[in-house]
This record gives sequence, structure tokens and C-alpha cells, in this order.
Amino acid sequence: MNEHELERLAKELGRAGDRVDPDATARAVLERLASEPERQPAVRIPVWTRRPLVRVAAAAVLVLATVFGVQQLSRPATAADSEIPMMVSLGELAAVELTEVLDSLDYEAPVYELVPVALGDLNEDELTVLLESLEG
Amino acid sequence: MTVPEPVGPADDAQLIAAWRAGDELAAAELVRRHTPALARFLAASGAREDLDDLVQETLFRAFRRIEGFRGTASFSTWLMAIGSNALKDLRRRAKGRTVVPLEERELEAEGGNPHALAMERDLLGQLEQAVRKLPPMQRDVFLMRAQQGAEYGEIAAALETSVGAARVHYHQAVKRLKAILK
Repeated sequence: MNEHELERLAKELGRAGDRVDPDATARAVLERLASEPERQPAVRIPVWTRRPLVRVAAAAVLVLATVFGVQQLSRPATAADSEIPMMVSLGELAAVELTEVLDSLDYEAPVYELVPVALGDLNEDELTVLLESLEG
Repeated sequence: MTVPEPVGPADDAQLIAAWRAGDELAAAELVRRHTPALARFLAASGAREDLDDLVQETLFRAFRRIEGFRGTASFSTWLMAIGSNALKDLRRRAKGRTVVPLEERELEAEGGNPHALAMERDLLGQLEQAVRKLPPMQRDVFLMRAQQGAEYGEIAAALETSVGAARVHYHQAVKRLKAILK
């Protein structure tokens, strides 16, 4: 069978379709369009807002918080416990208190000699050192 | 429900625009106009006793998603693509049910030699079975082209593939059908 013959026969395929009544089909389709409301696109609910998952998550948080709390209470107090950071502004401390804080941190403040110097005060060697330091 | 009376001659694009604006007459005219070709296409694709339901389902889906019709394919070819998907869905749901035997073909008696007519009927029956064995894409392209006379461009647009791919599917289908029917 050649392609031309195949195409000729193909036009004869589906004769059973000739029994479908276009008027009856139009009636049925219009009835269905009228009776079945158009479905709105489904709104996707985020996974985390689904009620069972929220309950499970809340229960897990409660269990973890309880376990952590019990562990903290049953643990003997250590020196580290006294090092709980406190929200205190350094500006509120007096000079004496600041010195105490620095002493407690074993912090040695560097000593700088702050002498105002203009470029014109530098000799050639000092300018060279300065430029080299700026170049990195 | 009474069917609205046929409207005057208007092309598909005008009827589609009218339906989008809510005109039921336009929808009824589109159904009347395209039901015969769609029914033949679906029957050739393998629809049997469920043919009426399938035609209605196809048209219902088409009107519901008419916004998706961009006019790159003809309305007729677009309907066939939707029909092919509706048939696939039906098959999926009906999987495992009893297969209904091929129904008797009703070749139009156009006179002539009864022996030749019987041979033609036999050949057509073989072709119909062979077409149903094709992979869905090859079957759709073959029927749209050979049975419905659609151009490759609109077949490609309706089936969301390229023109080149549609040509390949068609030639694969012809090759396979020839091999089955020789």
C-alpha cells in the first residue's frame, strides 16, 4: 500500500462518528455549561498552615522547651552561669566601673601617644615610611 | 433546554469572541459546526460506545478553557487535541475493564462491485486497528493530517510541538502503518 492509498483510506476512518447528532450534542454541552459552575483555580494553602502540621509543630516545640528547661534546672550551677551577658550601656558606667570591667576582662588597653602632626612637619624619611605604609 | 437556532455565517474567530462575551448561540453554532469532524477523529482514535460522551466532554472542556485558545491552530484542530487528551483520561479511568470488540463498520454503499466493497471494508478495518496501535502522538498527527487534512503548522500548534517534529511523527506513523498493512 502506498502513501496516497493510505491517505485515501484514512479519510474513511471513524465513520462511526457520523451517528453523533450535532444538535443533541449542542444541547447537552450547553446544559452542562449552564449547570456546572466554572471552577475557580484552587488556592494553594501553604504546607505550614495546615492544621495537623501546626499542631505537631507546636507539640514538638513544647516538648523541646520542657526538656531544655528540665536540663537547666537539674544542672549544678557553675561559674560560667554568672557570666550571663547583661544589657547595660557602657555610657551608663562611671570611669571606675569601666576600669573594673576592663580589669575583669584582663584587657590591656594600648597606649597611644596622640600628637597632632601636619604633613609639613615630617621629614623625607618619615614621609617615605608613611607612603609605604599607605601602599600596604 | 432548547437549542438556540443556528446563527448566520460567521467564522470561528467571531463565534469564539461572541461566546467569550457570553453568547450561547455562538457556542451552539460552534458545536454544530465541529461535532462531525471531531466525532470522526475520536472514533478513528478508538472511541466506541462512549463516543457521544467523549465528544460532549471535549467540547465542554474546550468552552471552559476557551481563554487558552490563541488561534495559532484552527479551532477544529485545537478541539481534536483536547479530544485526544479526553480519550487518554477515559482510557486511564477505564483501565482493566473489558475491551469491547470492534463494531461493524458502516461503509456507505456507493454502488459498485460487492467484492471490491468487501475488500475495501476489510482494508479499512485493518487500517483502523493499526491506527489504534500507534503511539498517541503519531496517531494524533496521522489522523489530523490524513483524515482531517490539517497543515503541519497547525498540527504542531495544537499538539504543542514543532513543525519538524510533527513531520517526523507523521512519517513514522505512515511507515508503521505500511509495515502492519503489507
